[in-house]
This record gives sequence, C-alpha cells and structure tokens, in this order.
Amino acid sequence: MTIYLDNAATSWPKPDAMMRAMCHFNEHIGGNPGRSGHRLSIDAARVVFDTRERLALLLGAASSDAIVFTRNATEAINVAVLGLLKPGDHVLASGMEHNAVMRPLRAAQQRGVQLTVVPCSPQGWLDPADVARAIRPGTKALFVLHASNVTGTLMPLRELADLAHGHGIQLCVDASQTAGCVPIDVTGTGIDLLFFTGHKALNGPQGTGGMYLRPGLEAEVAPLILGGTGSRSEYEEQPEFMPDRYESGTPNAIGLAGLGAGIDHLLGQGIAAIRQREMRLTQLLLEGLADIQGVTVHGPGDASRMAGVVSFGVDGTSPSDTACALADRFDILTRPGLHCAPAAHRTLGTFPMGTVRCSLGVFTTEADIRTTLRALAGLPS
Amino acid sequence: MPLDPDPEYLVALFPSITQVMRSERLLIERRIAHQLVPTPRRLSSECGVSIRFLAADRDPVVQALGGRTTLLDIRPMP
Repeated sequence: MTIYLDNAATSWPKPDAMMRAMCHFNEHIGGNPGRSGHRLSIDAARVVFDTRERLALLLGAASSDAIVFTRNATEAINVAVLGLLKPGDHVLASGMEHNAVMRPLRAAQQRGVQLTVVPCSPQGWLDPADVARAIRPGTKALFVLHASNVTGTLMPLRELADLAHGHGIQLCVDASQTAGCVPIDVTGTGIDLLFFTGHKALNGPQGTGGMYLRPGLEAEVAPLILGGTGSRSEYEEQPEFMPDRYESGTPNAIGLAGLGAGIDHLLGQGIAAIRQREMRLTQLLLEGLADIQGVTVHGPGDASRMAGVVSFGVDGTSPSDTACALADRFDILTRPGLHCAPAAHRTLGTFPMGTVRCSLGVFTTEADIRTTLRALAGLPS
Repeated sequence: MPLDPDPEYLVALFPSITQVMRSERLLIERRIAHQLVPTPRRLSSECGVSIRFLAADRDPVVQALGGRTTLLDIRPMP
C-alpha cells in the first residue's frame, strides 16, 4: 500500500467530496461564472463565491473581496513582485525562500529593484533583529514564507508584521506550506499580502491558488493580467475594484468547485485540530529519525516550531538514492533534492545535494510514520 | 424563487458578480423574495446580472445590503 509523504509538493489523496464537487460542476453546472445571466452561469458564480467566502473565513480576512484567485501561488507572487516593486525600491527576502519568490525577485533586481536577502539560522529561522538591521530608507516590502518547504520552519510572522509596519513596509507572506494545516489570521497578524496554493493542505485540485490583499493595497499593486471580467463591459479599461482587478479571463471554476469542497473538509475537522494531529505525527517522525544511526535531520527538530515538513540526509547515501530505495522497495513516496529552494539549502549547508523530504498531510497516519521509520532503519547506509 | 408577474418591480444594480452573489446570500438570510435576472442593457453595463425584487420591499432590501455589499443603484424594472 502506498505511503504518500510528498504533501508539500501536492497533497494526495484528496477528499472524496473534492472529486464529487468537480464531477457535479461538470455534469450539472458548467457555465462561465459572471459572464451570462442564465441559470448555469449564475450557478457557477455561486460556486466561485462560496469558495472565496470559505477562504476568507479560513484566512481571517474581513471580506472575501480581498481574496483573489490565480492558477497557483507562484502566479500570485508574480503579481505582487511585478505589480508592487518599481526600479529604485528596496525589497527584503528571507534566506529560506522558494524559487517562486526568488526568481521573480532576481528578475526584479535586473530591472533596478534593490534586493537584500536576509540570512536565516542554520535551522532556517529568520530573526526579526536581522531584518531590522537590513531595513533602510526606501525598503518597500518583506517577502517571507510562513513555513519553509524544505525544513518546515515556521517564521515569526507577528514580530515581522510589527517590525514591517513600524517602517511602512508591506509584509508579503508565502503560505504555500501552511494554508490549511496551520492557523492563519491575516487581519489579526497584520499581513499585507498572503499567497496560497489550493492543491496542498487546502485539499483542492492542481491549478488553483491565489492571494489575500489587505483592503486598500490594490491601489499600489498593478495587475499582471488584463482582460475581460464580466463586469464594466462597456469600458476598455481594467476595473479597479476587487477582486475583478486581478481576475481577468475565465476562471478555473471547476477547480474552485473542488477547492471549496477541499476546504469544507478542513473546516469540518477544524484547522487547530489538524495542526495538533500533524504536530504529533511530525514529532513522532523527528524522534524516530533521531534514533536511526547515520540520519541527520535539518531544521528546528521540534514539531511545535515547524509545519509537517521534515528534511534529512543519510550518511554515505545521496538523497535521490534514499528516496529511490524507499519508493522501489516500500512504495513510500518522498521527495529528494533541492525542492526548488536553492537559497534554503545554502542556508542549511545542504546545497547542492539537497535532502530527503517527508511531508505530511491530513490523511497521513501514525502507521505511515512508523512504517517509514522501520523502512529507513533497514536501508543499507 | 420566482416572483408573481405583478407590475411593480425594482432592480438592484451591482458592479460585479461577486457583489451580486454576496447580496443574494444576504437576501436569502433575511427571507426577502428576489430573483437574479440578466441586467437590462438600458439600465447598466456594469454587471450582467442584477437582482429584481418587489418595489414594496425596497426598504428591507436597502437595509439588508447597506454597508455589506457595493450597491450601485436601484431602478424601476423596465
């Protein structure tokens, strides 16, 4: 039986309700949301709106107007980088960022944006004091992930928000690894922009994602894609109101139907309960790995300071060989390598070989973890 | 919920389908009879869907939607 520990890449399996919602959309709805006045178009718009409302509830947004849908978190990050930063602006990023952030920022640097990468600890933690030292006049934004996709390290968002706002800096948070499995409160924390993917802990299908924008911030962030929105059809200028400003073209309504059902599955269990369960299993994995000779865990080593993402290396064996052995001999699916985050691996000292990454999901069981630990203990080193 | 074909209807106009959806939910919660209809072209080009309701319900509709959604206008249904 397959043990799937690659939920940081995409979650699997998905809730049955997610697949049923997508089938239902295709069989009984199928209209283009907001484009026509007929029943099927309106039904499709209801689906999209319901998913938007659920996300607002999940993320602590005061209104679902602040939720924008994109194809994935990467697209949303590109909207923020390209729409917010201008030549001459200074931007900060943590030394643990995924390439979804680093590549757009490096390209922005080529256009004259000044970038400072703030180093993190060897456990992948960003110290607000280091951020404070890197701030200078003209610093416009701080990009930081909520949890590392390599080590699971949780960043101190509240302290970073206080620091950023004290200097008029926009806090831009990549929540790809936490939305759906770690409580998030954009309003209470003071997050200005938050990027989420639908197909990981939110239990939606691939091709869904988006962002939260603090109300009013849309005036400072230019849209990436312009076009038809189903609104203001008489005018050839892009609407300025939310969420239409950023949602041109036919949306992935069938995907959003699935995402809404995926989020329902989470809300039914409660994010706090999901977090507690995942922490317990992560701690079990960490303690088990610590008992296996030759295994080195990278990251905080404490589940209360991590999302359910654990990276490790095995002495004398490459990450790809370890992952391959786990897959071939035990049908345990992990991810080896750099996880699209070379900056993070430079921070950890695991560049260029990378690590083996086990990432937990809402369907991961204690038996999955114990079987994986037994398998690892039995691998030749 | 279909309405009687009585003559006096008003139509609420919105900037986008998101606001129509939010308004629909608010009206359902308050049990105010209404119907989503294609926006009469002579009234607006903002959003292709509007909400039709009985003229007698104007005050409850305004109260239900006020401050919770972006309502552009309320016009007599042509």
